[in-house]
Amino acid sequence: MEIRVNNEKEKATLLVAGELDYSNVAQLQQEIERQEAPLVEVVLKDLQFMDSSGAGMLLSQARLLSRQNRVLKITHIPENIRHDLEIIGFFRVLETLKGAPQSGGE
Amino acid sequence: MSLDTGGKGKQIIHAGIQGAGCSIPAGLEGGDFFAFIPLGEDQLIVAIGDVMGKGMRAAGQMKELCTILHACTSKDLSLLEIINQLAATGGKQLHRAGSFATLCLISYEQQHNCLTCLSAGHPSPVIFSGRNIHVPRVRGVALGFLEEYQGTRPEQVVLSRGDVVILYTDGLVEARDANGQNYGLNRLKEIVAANTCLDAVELQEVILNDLFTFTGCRQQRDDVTLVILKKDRERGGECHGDQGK
Repeated sequence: MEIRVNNEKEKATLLVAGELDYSNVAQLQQEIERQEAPLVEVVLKDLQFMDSSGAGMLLSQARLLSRQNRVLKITHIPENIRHDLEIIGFFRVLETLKGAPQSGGE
Repeated sequence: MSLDTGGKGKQIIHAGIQGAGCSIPAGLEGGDFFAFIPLGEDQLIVAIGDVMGKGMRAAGQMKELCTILHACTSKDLSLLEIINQLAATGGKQLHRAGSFATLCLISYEQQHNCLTCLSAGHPSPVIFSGRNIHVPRVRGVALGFLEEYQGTRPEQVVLSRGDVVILYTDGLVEARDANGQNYGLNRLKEIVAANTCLDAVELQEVILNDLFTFTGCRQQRDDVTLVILKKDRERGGECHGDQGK
């Protein structure tokens, strides 16, 4: 897996390529945790595979950022990965975060 | 009761259903599971699921979830009530651990030839009836993501003699060959459709042989679990009543 990071004033963009799975999920998690921008966008355009560990980590990070009044945005999801994420209810959970009351920064 | 938590196969004949299942972990221990749970003489509960991650942690969480599942099924609850209890107990434990599990639950009642299914983030079962292939539209959020189960209502299907029901985990359809191509749901449907005359155990063998031919027996990155149900007897009746009871 390869991660490229673009930092702007209010937004950090992480471009993820390759395969995200149990063996390297901590690498992407650490990169997300390192960002301080209010909006962190994870671009999955060049991701070929993501297993359940990757999906679980992204949701955990989305929750964490939501509690800090920040946003984790996951974009350009390849169709095969989107299909798997839809089955597990990933987007439904993200929707609940959008509607969740913000508790203030940590 | 029959529960598989390792690489062994399990078989059952109960309530007019012949069942065969197997789970092949990608490593020493996996997070996939399946269970055949007979209730009385007339009902069979079948579960298949996949706990996030791999190794001992996933295997431990899977075993805890199985324990809760068996406790729930002993209480004469509907499928919806079972999955709600699982979400409230096992789901909460998974959430605390930063994990989640997918689960597909099936209940078959011989009296009405009625199969009821529900899913919490798991691929829907595939039902082969004559030349027809039906995939129930059951969707729900995986256990551990939310505090309570959110998903579609259970779907009911009347089974006829010879009908085949396939349950699987994503490791099966995402198994890869030397070129990185996935085995795929279409190939699974084709091999099953061409072999519905076989009994559940034979059909399982045919599917696994086809899978191993496709993958060249390469080590896979995810656990593979497959469960086959075949209705082997006719006892009349129509599908109605409560969900999964």
